[in-house]
Amino acid sequence: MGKDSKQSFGSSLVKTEDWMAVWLGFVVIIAILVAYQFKLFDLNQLNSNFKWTTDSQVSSRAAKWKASIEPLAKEAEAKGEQGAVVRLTALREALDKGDREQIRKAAGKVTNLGGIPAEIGKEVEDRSKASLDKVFTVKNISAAVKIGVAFLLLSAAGMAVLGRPVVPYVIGFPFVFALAWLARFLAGNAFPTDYGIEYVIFALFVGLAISNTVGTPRFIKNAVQTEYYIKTGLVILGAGLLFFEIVQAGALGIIQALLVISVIWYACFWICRKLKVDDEFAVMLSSAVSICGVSAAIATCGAIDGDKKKLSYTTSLVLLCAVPMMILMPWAVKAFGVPDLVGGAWLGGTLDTSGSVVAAGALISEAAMKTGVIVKFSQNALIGVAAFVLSIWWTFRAGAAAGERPTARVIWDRFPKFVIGFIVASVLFSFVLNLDMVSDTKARLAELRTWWFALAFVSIGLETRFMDMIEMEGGRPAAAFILAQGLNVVWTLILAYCLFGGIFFAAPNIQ
Amino acid sequence: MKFSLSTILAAAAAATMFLASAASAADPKYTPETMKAVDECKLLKRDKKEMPAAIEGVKNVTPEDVKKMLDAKQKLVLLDNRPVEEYEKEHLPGAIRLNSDDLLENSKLAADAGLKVDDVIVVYCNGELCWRSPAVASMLKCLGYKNINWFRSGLPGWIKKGYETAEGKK
Repeated sequence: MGKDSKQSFGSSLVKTEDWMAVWLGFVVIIAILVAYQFKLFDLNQLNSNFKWTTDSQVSSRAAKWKASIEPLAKEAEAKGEQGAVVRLTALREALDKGDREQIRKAAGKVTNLGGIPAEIGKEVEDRSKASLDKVFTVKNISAAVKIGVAFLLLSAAGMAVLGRPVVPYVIGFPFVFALAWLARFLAGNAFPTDYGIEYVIFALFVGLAISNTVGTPRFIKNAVQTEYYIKTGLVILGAGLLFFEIVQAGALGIIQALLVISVIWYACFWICRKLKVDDEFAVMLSSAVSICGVSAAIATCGAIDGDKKKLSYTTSLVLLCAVPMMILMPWAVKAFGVPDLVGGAWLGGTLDTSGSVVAAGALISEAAMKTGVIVKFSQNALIGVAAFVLSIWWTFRAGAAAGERPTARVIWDRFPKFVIGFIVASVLFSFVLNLDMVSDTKARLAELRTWWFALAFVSIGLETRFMDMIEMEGGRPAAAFILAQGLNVVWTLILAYCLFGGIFFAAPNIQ
Repeated sequence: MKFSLSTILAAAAAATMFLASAASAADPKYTPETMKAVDECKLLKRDKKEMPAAIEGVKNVTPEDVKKMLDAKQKLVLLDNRPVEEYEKEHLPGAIRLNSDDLLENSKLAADAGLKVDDVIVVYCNGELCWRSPAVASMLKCLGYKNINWFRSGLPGWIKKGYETAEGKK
């Protein structure tokens, strides 16, 4: 059994990373709510602006903007909306002339037309006013620095309570944070924004570029804490989700999870046997591929008392495999016009780490990310059950030689506790707090959670070395894992369509 | 460092109670029905849905109606219910500001703005998706104003007709 089953519940509340993420998330949420309620400071100053568009980028977009304005002007003309025609025409003329300030003003006038013209007007206005120097204002930089310092103090305190090395963490953290800033800055340019390339990709690649060339410097390593950051961000994400959305998508998610786990687990196990991978390895790989990667592999290893070397092999495999998947799958979703919710459920069901689900989902849309996370959580919640069933099966299979008797306690022990924080945050924001507090703090909390996520994505990059894949011995376990993962991708897509495509059930309304 | 389970739970419970009690300071003068109507508008806004087509006891007016009233120099109070930045960027000529959030916190602001019970009042904001003017209409009704008109298509509707607008402070 895992070592945390020996801890008392009270000490696990402060000694495990899952619970610590819950506390960190709550501290952030409560701090924002208190600051809002007592107007301690202007919450706007926490927002960093990363949007920048060069002059040539403004002029190169003029043609595209004009093309979207023309039909709107015609439509307004047909409806007899003379005022709308005048403003749209003024914007078109400004775009023809190419004066940035004039474009901004004309676009600003269009934003008050409401509907689609307002959306286009907003885009043009935002772009034309976002010059590079606005990113480097003292106010903007200090917003990021303040958040960096606050996160450092908070997370270092968490590390101290967890009993992990604090000083090396404090030394490394500023670098990880700076890389996260760099990633967001690069993503803020008009070019990647137009192509929907988000900070996620830049964070990953900034990290990958370092780890796969010069190697991640030793002094940063202690601050590369993917799970710690992502879990904290996920607890905060709970505040952005209505509870009934979680219940609705969660119920569908559990159905999907049961179907994915049972079919894919067995399929992977079967492939492993065909490829002559030993049973111990096969069980771990099957759990990793079908349930949720690292934590499932760890739980399974505990359940069957497996070989730790095989566990670390499986873990690396999961992490390496996630990187190409988290880039290719969102691309496929967009390229083939898969609905956002189906895409989210697909990612949540196939990607094996929470971090990669968030990253990939964010590349599609907010709704896809939220759906993915809920589906992922539904699957994670089943780890304990799976570990329980496996340990019983393993005990009988091994002839119940030695070791502890499996008990149902493992179901709770293996339950990902930060999911509780996520749900509590959602309940708080759905039922307890008043509407104004919720709507006025929403964007701030989203900004803070984006920082946690950016830290996590940089960390994923920093800890992923493609060389490891080649260096890994054997190759058969990897082949089995990849084959099963391919199967998983196809099977889960079918299930996601059936469950989240609005075919058999009403699709949840997640925004 | 050592925390007992009960300390942590007690602290969490206290924090939650505190936050729950820190409700927005809505003026207690508003009746539960009014608060319900206001919250409904906010929920529609949150879900990006159109406001109700009409509000009981409130007359709907179109851009043409408002234009006629203004042209006829009819005595009326034009109320812009949006935040100050939006007002300063653009508003209807002659409109004065009465922000929905402010009025919700303090019902005296209606009288402070110079509203008389029998005044012809026209409320507007950013059109069909904007919660502010229907909410203000409900609040004013509750406060006993008799002649409330809701300009539902609001500023966008006004601009589309090609009517003049104003900008800057008032």
